[in-house]
Amino acid sequence: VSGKDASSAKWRLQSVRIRGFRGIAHEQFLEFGGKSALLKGNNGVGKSTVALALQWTLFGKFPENVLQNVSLDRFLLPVSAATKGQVSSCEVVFAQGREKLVVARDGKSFSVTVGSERLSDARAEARRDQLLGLDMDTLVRAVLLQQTRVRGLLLDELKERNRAMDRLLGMDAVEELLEVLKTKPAADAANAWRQAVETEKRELEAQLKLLQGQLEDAERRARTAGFFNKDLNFVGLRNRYAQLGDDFEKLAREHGVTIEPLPPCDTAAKAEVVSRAFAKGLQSVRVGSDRQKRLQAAQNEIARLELLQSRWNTVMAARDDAAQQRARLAAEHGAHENLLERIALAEKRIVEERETLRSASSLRQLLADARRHIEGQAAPQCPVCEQSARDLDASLRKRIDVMSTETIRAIEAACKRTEQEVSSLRDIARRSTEAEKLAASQQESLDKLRQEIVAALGGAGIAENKIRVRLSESIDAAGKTVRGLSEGVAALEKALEALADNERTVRDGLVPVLVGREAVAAFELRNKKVEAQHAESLARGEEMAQLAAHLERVRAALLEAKEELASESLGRAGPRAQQLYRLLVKQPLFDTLDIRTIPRAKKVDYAFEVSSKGASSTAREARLVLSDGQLTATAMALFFGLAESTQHNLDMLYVDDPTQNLDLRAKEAMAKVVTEMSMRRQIILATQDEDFASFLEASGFAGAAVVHHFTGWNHDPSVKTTLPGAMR
Amino acid sequence: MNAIDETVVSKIRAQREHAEVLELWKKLWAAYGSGRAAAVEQVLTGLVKLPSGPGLTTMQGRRR
Repeated sequence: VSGKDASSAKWRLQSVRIRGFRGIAHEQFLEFGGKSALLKGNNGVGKSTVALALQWTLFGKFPENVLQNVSLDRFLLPVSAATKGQVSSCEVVFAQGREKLVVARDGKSFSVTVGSERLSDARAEARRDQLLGLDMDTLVRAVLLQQTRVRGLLLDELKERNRAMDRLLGMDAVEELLEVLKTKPAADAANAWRQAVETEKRELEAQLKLLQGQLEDAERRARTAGFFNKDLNFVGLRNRYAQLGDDFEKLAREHGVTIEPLPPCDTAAKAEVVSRAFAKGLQSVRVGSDRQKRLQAAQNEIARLELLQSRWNTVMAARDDAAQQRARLAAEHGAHENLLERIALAEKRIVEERETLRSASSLRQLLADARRHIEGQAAPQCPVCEQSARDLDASLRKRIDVMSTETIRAIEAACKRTEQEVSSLRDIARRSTEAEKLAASQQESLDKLRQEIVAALGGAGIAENKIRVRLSESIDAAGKTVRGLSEGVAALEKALEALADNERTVRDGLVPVLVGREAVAAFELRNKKVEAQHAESLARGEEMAQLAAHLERVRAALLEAKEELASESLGRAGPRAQQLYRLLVKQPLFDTLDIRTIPRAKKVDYAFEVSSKGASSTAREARLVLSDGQLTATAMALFFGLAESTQHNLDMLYVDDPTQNLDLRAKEAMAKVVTEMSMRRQIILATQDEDFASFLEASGFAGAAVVHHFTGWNHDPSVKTTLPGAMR
Repeated sequence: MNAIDETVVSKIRAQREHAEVLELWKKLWAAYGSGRAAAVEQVLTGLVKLPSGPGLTTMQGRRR
């Protein structure tokens, strides 16, 4: 425990100062003085904080499985009183003889001080690595021994046991690399490049075949249309369009139309423009030729005359209807003047008949008065005619009756008839007047139209009965003109159509051949560039294939390295692990521990076996024949063996809670083992196990070591420190 | 950790025509040192290139 043996040339832990870190809200200073130490106390009083502070101070991080789903900053802050802005800081002091190494870290900086040399950040890290000779993984694997790291060895799953063994041996980095160094993506990429080239080659071949097929069809059509091989070129195209242009201009001139000359055509691309110009020229000749203009004028004249003819027929018919109606009235009722005369006579007769009626009425009144007089006289005779009164009265009564019933009625009836006759005559006279007016109006319209026709046909005047004939003659004459002009226009149209046919033959026969040849040539030119790109693609594929092969070789080297390094570690740790196995487990039947690598094709497995005196026939897989407690002790034996055989410059082992699952006998054995180990190096033990603490006292460990008794926790641990005699 | 690198390097050196393999390993190991498996995957992602698009005529190669 004195530390004055051969290993005193290495660094030992002198002290740890912790501020605002995990289980320590304020500050805790723990002195070790290079001695072994015992950190004892119940769970949750801050013992593990010391180990975490050591890791963080030295390397500023933790193994990946420590920090899962939590940021480093949140993990560091005090569990009880984390406040914003609080900064964790720790200082660890090591000593080597008189020389001191101070390692300090807070949230922002890292420093290493050796003697008067003070370095920070990257330079401090380099100095740390140089002085301590270990990295974080080695620290966790070979200095800070935590039983949680051997739990995997107890699991049934071979993969989990292999993984636990990898962690113990520091081979987890190799496994992690093997996990990500897959060759398949590179091999797939190589195939993808090759296939992409193949696919595109096939597509390009198909496209070329299609273009060639289209060209052959075009050539066949061109020959059918009368082109010879000598025509199937751009000179042929230019000559054909030039000839077409000359012919077209000549025809246009003949028909009095000036057209734009066709543009020269010596490429397939220009053919479309020339063709459009030709079509435009055709249309202008069709519309603008002399004959066409004259024909249009003649057709307009016919239409005008036919319209006049139609109007003449209509107005004539209306005029004739009116005349007929007037003649019919005259035939039935006489002339209009006679009718007026008859109406005057009838009206005169009515006046007379009314006078006669008035006289008759007066006479009847006179007779009635005479009779009343006679009736009033007593004389039996008339004094005038001497007729008897009685006869006279009878005669008067008879005359009065005749007057009343016959004479006056006859006169009234004659008067009424005459009035009806007058009414009838007046109605006829009105109709006659209207017929007269209509006839006059129609005649007037006819006369106006006649004047219009005369003006249209020319000449001084045309009699009404000649109009129809003259119109027909004019229409016939115009028809003859139209027929004559139509024949000329048809001849022009035929000539134009022949030119159009000629142009169509060039456009549909010759141009497609030239277009097809251009397309094939352009495609072949592009194909040459694509072939160069394909070569690049194949080279890229080859590059990917090579990458896959290189990755495979890296994997192979990794596996070989793993097998070699693991075998070496196990070879170095084996004898010590064997010795510790016997001391800690004391299995009566299986007294020999055998841990070795088993190289496989694509991985490295581990054998974790026990046997009787090393006889292979008795070898059994440890987890099948040992209890969990024995298995834990066996794992700890391997753990210690590996830790002791790992080379670095820290002369200390920090062992956290080594007695989980162990029975009393094993705890006692463990106490003896760590006491024995503390004779050669600084051992720092953390435990909550009172039995184990008692065994450590009995074995002499506790008496020679610094004892930090964590008695309780309230934001900070309460620590009672007992220094060994040499330090007091 | 250095032991792993040294051993792997010696194993690769023992292979024939190992210059490119060794270079690849150094690149991967450096990445592992700076960012563990994630960094290695990133390096591999950068190395593995796949053709892009249906045709190769405009192909630049894309990363996985």
